[in-house]
Amino acid sequence: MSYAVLHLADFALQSVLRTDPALAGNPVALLSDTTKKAVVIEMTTTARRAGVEAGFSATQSLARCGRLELRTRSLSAEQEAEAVVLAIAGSLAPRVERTGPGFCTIDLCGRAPATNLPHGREALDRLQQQGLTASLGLARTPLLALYAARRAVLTQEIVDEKAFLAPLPLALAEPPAELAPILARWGLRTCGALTAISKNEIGRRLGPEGVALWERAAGEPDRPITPVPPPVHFNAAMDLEHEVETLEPLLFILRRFVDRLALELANAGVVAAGLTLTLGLADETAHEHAFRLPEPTANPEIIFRALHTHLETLRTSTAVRGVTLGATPTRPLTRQHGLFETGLRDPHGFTETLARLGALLGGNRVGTPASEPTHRPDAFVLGAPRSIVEPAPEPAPLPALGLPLRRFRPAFEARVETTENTPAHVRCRLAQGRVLHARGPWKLSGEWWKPEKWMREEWDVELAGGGLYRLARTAAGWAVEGMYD
Amino acid sequence: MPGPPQSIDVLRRLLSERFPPALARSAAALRTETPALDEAGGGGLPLGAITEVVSLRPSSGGQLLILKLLTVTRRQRRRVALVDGIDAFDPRSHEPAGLEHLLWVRCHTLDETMQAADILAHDANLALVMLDLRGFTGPELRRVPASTWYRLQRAIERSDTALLVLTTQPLVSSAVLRLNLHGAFALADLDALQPDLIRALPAEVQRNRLLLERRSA
Repeated sequence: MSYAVLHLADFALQSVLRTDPALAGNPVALLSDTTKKAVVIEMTTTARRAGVEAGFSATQSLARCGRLELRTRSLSAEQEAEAVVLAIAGSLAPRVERTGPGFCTIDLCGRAPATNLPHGREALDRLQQQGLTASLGLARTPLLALYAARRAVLTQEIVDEKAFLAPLPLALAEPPAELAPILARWGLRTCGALTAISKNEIGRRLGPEGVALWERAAGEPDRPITPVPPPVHFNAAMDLEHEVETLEPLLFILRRFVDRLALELANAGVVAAGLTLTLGLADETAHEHAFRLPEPTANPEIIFRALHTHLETLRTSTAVRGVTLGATPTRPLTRQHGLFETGLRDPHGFTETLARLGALLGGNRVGTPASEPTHRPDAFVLGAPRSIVEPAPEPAPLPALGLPLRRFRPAFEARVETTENTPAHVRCRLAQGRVLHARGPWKLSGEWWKPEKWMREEWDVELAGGGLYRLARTAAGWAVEGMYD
Repeated sequence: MPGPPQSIDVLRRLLSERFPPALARSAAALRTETPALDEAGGGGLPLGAITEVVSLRPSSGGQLLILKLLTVTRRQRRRVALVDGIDAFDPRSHEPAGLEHLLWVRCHTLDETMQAADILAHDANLALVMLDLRGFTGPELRRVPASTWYRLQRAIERSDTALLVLTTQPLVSSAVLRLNLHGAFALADLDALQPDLIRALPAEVQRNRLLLERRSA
């Protein structure tokens, strides 16, 4: 049986610091609340060196350190940090306990003992990437692992329990307040000193509380842990202490969310099929956007890129006060591509390209053209590009004739002189000149049963100066519709 | 260390020895079944490079070339993007089933066009990006800085994408291949079969850096 404990000192402070990169390196103190009686509960090393201590008021703290940044506790930031710790702990083993603020116990039963320490170090690195500094203790029981984590600089594995416990301060075993002075009078200051006396002797003198303390000092009680149920909903939310008006701080927070959610999805063996981003705005409204990922994925880079592309083009009416990100879980796709299938090489990249083009031009100007069931000129619809290009149909027995049209949108208004009802001279902004050859008229009409009925006469002409053009005569007059090219 | 190169050929040889992949890429090409283009490009449009086709006269066959490229790539089931500078592409001139692989980007300004081309040049899913700049005036086109073309070249040179730029005047400083379409079709050609028109497409090679690279290699 083996356990690991992750310990995050000054957990509330770390939770706040990781949400604001501007605070890095500055002296920061965390206040208990926002009232006037609020006192400092945690502070950074730089603030401590400047003389700030726990229990100081805001004024006292600022008197000691003029550069001090004051922040208040953030429940949502702590919840988010705790979720990160649990997710990273869950990547080591499935049974993980939320032991307390800044403490997380992991049941390593079933793991190869030799891998515990290297994998534990990797977990610490991941926490560091998420802006959280932690230490890791490995031991036979949850309590011993907890002691080890609290004593460790980075990692500590207890091999010789007696040698480890002997010099430990007795305060680590948390003696009851009424026993502490008695033990001090007896000169018992370390766990080793207490456990040198037999448990029965301690029980006779200090009663059941003394026995419990003795057992804690000996690291004896082996308790079952209470595992956290695996997440069913994959959400991350945070209320921002300061309103956000630019993209960078928002992306910073979203990156943290994405990394955590990706880890939770991977731990649960699922992937995200879609995302829902909600931005709470300062005017009490919210911007909500649902993303459908082209292929379900748990890759944080791809998920973050989808969010980044959307936010790059987003303009909100007011500043952002809160962020919520949800991922819709689904089973991973296990389809094997056909040998000759020409699907997208990078579906996520293609979706991002379409999103960026849509942001640049508008969605109705990007897509794959398809014909409409009408003879009306220039009738087509733009659809979404297909994910797989199907084999081309058999070509027609006879190849097509002539040149494709290069259509002018809108058509150029033209002045056309006619001879015997045939265009003889064309003048428009694009081209002008004598008509060398002309073919027509081709009379077209349609949709006479609708208000938008149309009727026209078309001519193909070759101008003396070069160029083949299509002329159209409608009720509005002559126009050059396009050039055969 | 070798001494300073005495000629451009020596410099090319040195570069090819030190950076073989940069020149080896020029061997890959997207077959177009257009004799003028395939011959000049050593089998088709060079991949990872820019090809420029200049329509010197109206009705010289630029749109016919686009049609042929769409037909060939559709048969090969490869994706194509058309960045349509002045929104002049006519889908009804094509078989509807022949456009299923096309991403048509309808631009209205030169800025939009160049930005869209830049976005598409970074997409690994496309075999061919066609950038149609015909319809913009000479002064407008000359305002595009040369660095933009080198940026586009840099974007595609590590990819398997061919970039074809259609213009009305020589423009693209970083193009490895430039073809001039100098002919002009007549009204009678509207009755001719398209394959015959493609075969007879009057084109001349105005620049071919591929040839130089091959010689120096």
